Amino acid sequence: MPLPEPNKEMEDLLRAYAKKRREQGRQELPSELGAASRRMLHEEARRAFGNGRREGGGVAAWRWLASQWPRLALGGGLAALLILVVARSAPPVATRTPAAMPVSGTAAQMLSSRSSFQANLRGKSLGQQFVQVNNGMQSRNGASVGGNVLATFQMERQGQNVLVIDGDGSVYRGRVLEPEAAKKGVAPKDQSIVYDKLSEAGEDFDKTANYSFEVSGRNNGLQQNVVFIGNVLQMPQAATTAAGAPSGAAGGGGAPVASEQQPVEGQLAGRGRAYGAGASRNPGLSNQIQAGARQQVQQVLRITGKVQVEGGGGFEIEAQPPGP
Amino acid sequence: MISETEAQLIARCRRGDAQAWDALFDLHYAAAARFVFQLSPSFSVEDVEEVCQEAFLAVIKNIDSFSGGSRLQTWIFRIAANKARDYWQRNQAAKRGGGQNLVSLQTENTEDGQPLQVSSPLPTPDAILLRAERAAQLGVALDQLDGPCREVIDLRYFADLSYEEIAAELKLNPKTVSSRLSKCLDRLEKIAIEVFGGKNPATFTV
Repeated sequence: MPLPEPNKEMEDLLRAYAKKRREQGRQELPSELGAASRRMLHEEARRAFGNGRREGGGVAAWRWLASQWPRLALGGGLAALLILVVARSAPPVATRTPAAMPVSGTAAQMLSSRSSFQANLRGKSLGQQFVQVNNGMQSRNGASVGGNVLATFQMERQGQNVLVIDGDGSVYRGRVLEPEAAKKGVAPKDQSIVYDKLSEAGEDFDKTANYSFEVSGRNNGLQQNVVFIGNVLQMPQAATTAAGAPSGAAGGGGAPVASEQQPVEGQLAGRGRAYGAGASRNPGLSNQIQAGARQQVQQVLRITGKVQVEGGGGFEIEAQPPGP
Repeated sequence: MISETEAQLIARCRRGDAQAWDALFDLHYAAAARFVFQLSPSFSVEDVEEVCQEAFLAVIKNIDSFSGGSRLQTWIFRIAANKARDYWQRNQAAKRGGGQNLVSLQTENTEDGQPLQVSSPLPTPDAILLRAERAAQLGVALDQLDGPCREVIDLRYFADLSYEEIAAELKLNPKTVSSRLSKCLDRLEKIAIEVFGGKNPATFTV
């Protein structure tokens, strides 16, 4: 006769054993918790929970944290990585160099460029302001082009990078041109005429300190790209200590300094603070700032060049620092 | 898994409601005591009370961690089973001499100069007789079963849980529970054969 299935035997034995012990337990074991034990357990429950509050309120939270630590650690690591990636891909705007910025782009990019420049103005220098002296808004065939493009503008050079902010807030960026490139881009004959005019006016300038530049960007008013190739005539450093600003007569035409300058100051926050209402509220500060600005203004006598407006032809430009 | 009434009771316990704790003790203490009593043939009523007291202290301390993935009674039974195993192992260690001070047999009684009467750690003659009776029972073999095997057998035969309930409690597949149980019964049989001098345990009556 074959033996029964071992597991079945064991199962039966276990069930019989359990049944016997249960019956035995029912006879011997008390049917409910003893009073002393109940009191002790209640004491413990009261100590642990009190009046609805867990002893050491943080215990449950710590237990939860301990049970969740792998998820929390993973989540924290990912968050840190994300922050690192974002921080690296988007450095603070104020620390960007002008050359790193796009030449043209959306309004947001321009605002970004502008705030960067304004940050530079606040942190480094005031830049230098110019007004057109030739009313050169006429194309060679006499048609008006460009509207108020570069009628007044602010220019700053940092190393080889050049930044021009138009009166309407448009930002043009570019670089100093190598001498060979400059010869092709800037009309030499116009340059010689300007030199002659400056000499006739008795103004001293240093031809060797001159440089050419090319900037481009989108004009906010026209919503078109503008390329400005210019030539900068600089005074010798010794002349910068001379009192008084250069006269506006050199280029003829009498630039509308006061009327043109105002919008630029109004639109450029950095300059606005220096020359505008803020300065007028503090005359002492105003004088200091203006004196510093004038010192810089005196460093560049003229800017001449060509402005090419996308789809609108081009015009020649001659600009100088505004009068005092 | 957990009923609404049970969830409400647990919530009240967590808020420190003494009546809720009373209700919990009334509902589960007697069942837990009967469960513990089955776990070892050597457990006396006093042993069961001690184990249950430890188990319910652990219930109070850990009620916050009860997730509701199983019935409250199953959760209490698992705690009680762990406490019972610890208790049984402590007792076994004590019987082997652990934790007891050794006394030299040459030591004289300082009071009357008579040879020192050292109580024996071995069971008394009555206890030996009782053990001899119990030795015929399967519980002796069960005591030698440990780890996952003991746990799954306890839950299946002493807590009367279904495969599905055991699977939920141990976070296993029901088929895994079935397979483990089968292997563990084989193992228990081998132990029982050794315990009973090579005889088939099926020839013994419980």
